[in-house]
Amino acid sequence: MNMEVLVHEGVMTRAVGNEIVLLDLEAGIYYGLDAVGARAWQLWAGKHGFDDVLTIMCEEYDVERSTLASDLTELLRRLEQARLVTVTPSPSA
Amino acid sequence: LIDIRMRAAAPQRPLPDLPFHEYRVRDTSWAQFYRVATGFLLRFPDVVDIVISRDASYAEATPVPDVPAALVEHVLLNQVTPLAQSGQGATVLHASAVIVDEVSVAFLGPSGRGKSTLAANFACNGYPFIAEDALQLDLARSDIVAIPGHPSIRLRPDAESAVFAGDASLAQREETLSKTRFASGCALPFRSDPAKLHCVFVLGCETVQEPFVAQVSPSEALHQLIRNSFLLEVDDRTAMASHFAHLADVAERVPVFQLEFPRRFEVLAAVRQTVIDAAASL
Repeated sequence: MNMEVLVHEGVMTRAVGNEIVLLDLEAGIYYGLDAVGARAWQLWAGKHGFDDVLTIMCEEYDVERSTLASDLTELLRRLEQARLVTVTPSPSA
Repeated sequence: LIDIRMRAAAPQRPLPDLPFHEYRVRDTSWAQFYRVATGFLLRFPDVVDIVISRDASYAEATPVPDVPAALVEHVLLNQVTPLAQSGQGATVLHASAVIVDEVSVAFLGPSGRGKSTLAANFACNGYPFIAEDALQLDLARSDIVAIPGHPSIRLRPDAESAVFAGDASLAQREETLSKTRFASGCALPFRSDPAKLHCVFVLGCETVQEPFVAQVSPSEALHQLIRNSFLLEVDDRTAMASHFAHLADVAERVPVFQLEFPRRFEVLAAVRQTVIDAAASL
């Protein structure tokens, strides 16, 4: 099932090099994403659903789809746990 | 600039609210941040209360009776002034900086990592220092520029012996609690003009045999800059966002290295050369 990822309003992001640093303005906590995590974040923030991001990144990186799916799922779980994003079923799913 | 007025000493009275922020050193509260009607109250328990105006341009300090004046001065110079500068929108790092080949290199890190010792060691060897504990940056120009801080360096007794090689009489000194403050002079040259910030060295705490440097990624650089910078309004979203954007600007425009070195004073010359070589390689 495709899923939508909504970035919370109080999250400020800044790309530095090919990585991204996130600032949760509400909690005053900073987070870092490496280059791969940063790419996923950019796509999610650009309103791409989970499955779309998986497809795009499989073309961009030399990685098995199942491995990438597992890594992205874990990243999303941690982003949700940190209250940086909300994951919802896509209306078109 | 901040206009700081001293008031007559008075005991610290209990405050009705909890602080919105606190600095702790070794499980002891070192500084407490409160909001008051006119701005902020910074309480340094058993040392001094400082009320800072909302625009951070004016402060009144009320020391606790019998606290040494040098300790109060240290708090004002090394804590209150950089926090007030940040309250005025300035970017201030917890760093010392020295001049190498007409540009500045900064040493960033928490207390105890060697910022002052390195600054003093460079200065004693012909590389003037431009800031000791708080480094204000000007981001408005094409280059990021280091602004001169207070022309003095505080050293612990062991660092004093190592830096001055037994001849500290050349420097003008003033005792505080655990450190001695040395005024700049011919033994400790100071740069009083702004200078381009060439690079930043984050002082590490690894156990190593030889000094070495390694460039850190921009995101790690940003994390280090965030960890080691002053911010008065830590719960104000606008101030935090602006602070974040300014530090990200620094992380993108200035190379940041990790500097590890053995914690022995006899390797200071080697550390100095490692830093000079790394700065020259850029």
